[in-house]
Amino acid sequence: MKLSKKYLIALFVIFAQFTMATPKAPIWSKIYADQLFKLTEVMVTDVASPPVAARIYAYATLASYLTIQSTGGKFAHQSLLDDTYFAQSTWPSPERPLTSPEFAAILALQQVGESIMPSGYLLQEKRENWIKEALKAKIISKKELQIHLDYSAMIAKSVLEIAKKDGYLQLSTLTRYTPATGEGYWYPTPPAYISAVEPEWKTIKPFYIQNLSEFKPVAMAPFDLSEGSSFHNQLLEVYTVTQNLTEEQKLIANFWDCNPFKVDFSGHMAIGIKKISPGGHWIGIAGIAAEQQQLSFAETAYVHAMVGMTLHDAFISCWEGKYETNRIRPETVINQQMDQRWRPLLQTPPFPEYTSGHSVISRASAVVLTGYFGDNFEFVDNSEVYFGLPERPFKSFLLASEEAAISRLYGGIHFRDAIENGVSQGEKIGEMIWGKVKSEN
Amino acid sequence: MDWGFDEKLFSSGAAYSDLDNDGDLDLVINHLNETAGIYENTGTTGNWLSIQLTEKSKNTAAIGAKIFVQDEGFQQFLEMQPVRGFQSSVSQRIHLGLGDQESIKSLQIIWPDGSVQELKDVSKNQILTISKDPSSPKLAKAKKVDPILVSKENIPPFIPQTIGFNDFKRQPLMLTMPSYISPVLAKGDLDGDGNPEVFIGGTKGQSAKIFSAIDEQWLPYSGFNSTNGFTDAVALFADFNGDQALDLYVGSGGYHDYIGSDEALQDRLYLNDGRGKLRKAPFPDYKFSTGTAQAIDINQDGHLDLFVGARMIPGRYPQLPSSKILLNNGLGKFTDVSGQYLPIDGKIGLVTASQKLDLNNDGREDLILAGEFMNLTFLINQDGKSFTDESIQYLDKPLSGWWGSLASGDFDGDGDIDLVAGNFGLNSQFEANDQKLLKLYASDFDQNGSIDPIFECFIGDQAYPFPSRDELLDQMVSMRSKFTNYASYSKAKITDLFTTDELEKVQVLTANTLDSYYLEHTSEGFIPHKLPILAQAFPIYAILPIDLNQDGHLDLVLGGNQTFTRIRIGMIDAGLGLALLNDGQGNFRTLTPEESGLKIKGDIKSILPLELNGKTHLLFGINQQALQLLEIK
Repeated sequence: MKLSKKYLIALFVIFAQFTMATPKAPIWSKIYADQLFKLTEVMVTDVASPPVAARIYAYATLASYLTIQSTGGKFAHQSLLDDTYFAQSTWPSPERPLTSPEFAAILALQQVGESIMPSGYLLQEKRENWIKEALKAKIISKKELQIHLDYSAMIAKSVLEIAKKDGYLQLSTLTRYTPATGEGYWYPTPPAYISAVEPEWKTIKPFYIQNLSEFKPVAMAPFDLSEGSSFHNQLLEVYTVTQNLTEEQKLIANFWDCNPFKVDFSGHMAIGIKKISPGGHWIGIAGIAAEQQQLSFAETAYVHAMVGMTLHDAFISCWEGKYETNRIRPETVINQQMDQRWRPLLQTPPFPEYTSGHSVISRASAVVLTGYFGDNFEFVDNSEVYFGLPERPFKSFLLASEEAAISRLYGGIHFRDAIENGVSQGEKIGEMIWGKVKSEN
Repeated sequence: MDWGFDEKLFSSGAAYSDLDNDGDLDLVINHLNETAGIYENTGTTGNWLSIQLTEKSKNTAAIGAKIFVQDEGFQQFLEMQPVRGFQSSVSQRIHLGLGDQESIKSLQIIWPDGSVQELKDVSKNQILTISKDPSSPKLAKAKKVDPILVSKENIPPFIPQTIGFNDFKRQPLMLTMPSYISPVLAKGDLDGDGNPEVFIGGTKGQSAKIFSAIDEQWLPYSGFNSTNGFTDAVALFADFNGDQALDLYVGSGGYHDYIGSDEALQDRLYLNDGRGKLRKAPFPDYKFSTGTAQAIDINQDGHLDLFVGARMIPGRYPQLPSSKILLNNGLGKFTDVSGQYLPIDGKIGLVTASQKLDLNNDGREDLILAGEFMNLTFLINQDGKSFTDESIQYLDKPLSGWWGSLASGDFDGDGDIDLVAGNFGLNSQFEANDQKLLKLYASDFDQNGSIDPIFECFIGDQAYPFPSRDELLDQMVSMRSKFTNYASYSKAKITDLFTTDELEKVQVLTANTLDSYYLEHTSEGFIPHKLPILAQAFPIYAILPIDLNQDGHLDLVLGGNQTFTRIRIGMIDAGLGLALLNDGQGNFRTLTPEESGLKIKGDIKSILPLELNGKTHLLFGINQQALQLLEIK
């Protein structure tokens, strides 16, 4: 072909690209995960404790779910609200149909985050950016902007009304915790000896659980230092396993550390290193799965709210058990009885030992995610990359949750029964919640 | 002044020394996460003297030595005491600034063992090494005095037990723990055998007991039984039912984990069956933590009525509770007539102390009240029908303090009864005066059902909220988004915490003085005189007017201290029990522990005078400790 003709064809092709280009459809699952991560960043800044972080995720994701549901959105499964204690509540509807419920839903998520977190004001800028982005990408038009702003504010307000009455505001009226005296009881752990976190979290109203006693874990091995006792065997297990960790086990322990505030000491100087909480890790996994399946906005919002609300209930149940048993941490016993110099690989978090939080909430999240996406859903977990840890592939949610559970033994911060019984506890909660929502529409 | 420190650093320790031997002090400062700073003193200086003391003993640098330097119109005193804090010391050379002095006429050293050495005409600007001259004479020892009070060993066998409740776990913003008030003491001859019975108040977890003091013995008294749920705040022996036998009223106080309607807050009346046995009798049902009480014939019917001063509502400090007037029908049956008798519905204050006195000479006893962040209040008995607050008639200007005790007596021998008011004292970081008021704001600011007490005090010229950011945010969720970092809270005033609207609905209590006073009663009311400075060294919770040295003048024995405060306020345990001798005109002289014999370490809560074997003794009730008994020689 002559050179000039080649140029002409090339020119035509380029020209065609410009004139026939259509606006790209927004990848909602990615947008949702990105926007939710901005709340995660604020939670990390504020050092939201694991149960508090789960509560924030629950209400924020609930707001975006409610926005879609109240504007006539359809979901693949049952309403997440039907078996909650506010199933009978009515929710506001917009004056006229919204052109982009998705846009409003993101705003509602942001507004709940802004109100409910101490440093929530940091989200103001993110919200303004979101509005600008949405206008630019023609997700929303200038004319339609105000009705979406108003409606998202209404939904956020309704969600915050529920949050106001769930017992959180009354926590500061309750008598503060004093560690129980006696053998086998929890005591603050080194290096920072932080006071017990949220000892009265059981007073927060769960969404789905009607009776916390139904989800209590089985009894733990009683404190007993005599050789051959279950407790003593488990104590030795923590000690020996942690002395012989493989590189892989060390990586696993760190991958699931999820400690919002690890304190590093250097002489008299202490630095707190911030990270996402266990709940934040599973919210991240939910986002990865939604993106992988290229879910619609409605389904993305559904999945996130489902996981968020499951996390919240699971933490309430787990924390009830922790402060009922007030069990001592391995680090305290090992230092007192066996080896003063032993340190766990991870920093022992500031709350009693039984049951293991990660075991309970990871299992519960994995169960509902398995219900939704199916078992053997392979994914690559990159939620810790932001915090300097590598990606990690998993063959299923349940396998990931098993690894999260056992990681606590490798980390030297839990006894085995707290892990195994915690997994059963989480399984029961996840099954209960999935059971309520699973029937397909 | 440009000190020459330019860098912003975190520093936590410093030491001074003349490192370059040029006669001025240089500085060494340690910095966090940085190399230490060594700073040369380059300013212009006056004349100087640097002294290195040495002695031939294990204490080679003569730590503990004292140096007196004297010349015309020039006098200095320094101690060889180089320690300046935890694992820290300054130079062991003593450095004196001499200004324009060319030389020193006299340099006197008192070595650690008491020997005295003098150097004369010491010239300026030199480093002087002074070795101890072994032939130096020793200082004459102070003449030994016989103390007025002598400790006795036979104390009542009442072993205090502690349940160790931390009140700050309940209301984290309180300043002191109101649970720790025991033991209250009272005496009376219950069985008419001539020997006093002594009531020793209990606390939650330990019931009150009565002992009979017979000869040198303390025998448990079987005619009384209490239970261990109560915290006894006040005990009065008086004949309430006119049968010539002493009855007992016990006011229930404390804080612990008592709920507002707790049975343990019920005040109690025990009537004497005539043979010395005290039986619990019906009594009006009101629930608050009692602070004080007076048995007083209010309506002139010949029967002893009761004024009960309410201290607080457990869990709801500092919400004002309603104090009570209870009229006695003569048979020990009391009726609550507070609404009719007391102003402001009885919500006079957080009352901790009271006295009864006929102030206006109308033959009816009136009431003087004191409390926390409360005015000294003078309630005048109006014809037996009510009490009105006439404080302005008795004080030129209001005295509002953090009062803990009141006592009365004729201290200036002029025939009228004066007052002594015990306050928080000056041994804390708080100061209070008319320009610098201490304020206690209280409201359910975050509307979650709990009262948030916010204390405000002056730092320099400005008033700031006292709680730290951590303390405030733990208590009030709404503050967490207001102060997201420490820097923003560091300059916050109360108006940065709350809006004007919120502040309008707030209860504010104030204090304009923390001094303890002797109040001289004159025809124009009471003239306040501050007690001597050592009496201001501790919060005063017990005052006993008594003639200690038998000179016909009423002296004072004071007790106090406060161990149960916030860490930031610090334990105030400077008091040892203090004796003040009265010259008869109301001028008080402080006695040293050697002179008085008082060396009681602990929180003194009560002082009871007792006649045992014909001699006057003082029984001290000390919180969490065994009682102490001293005899007045």
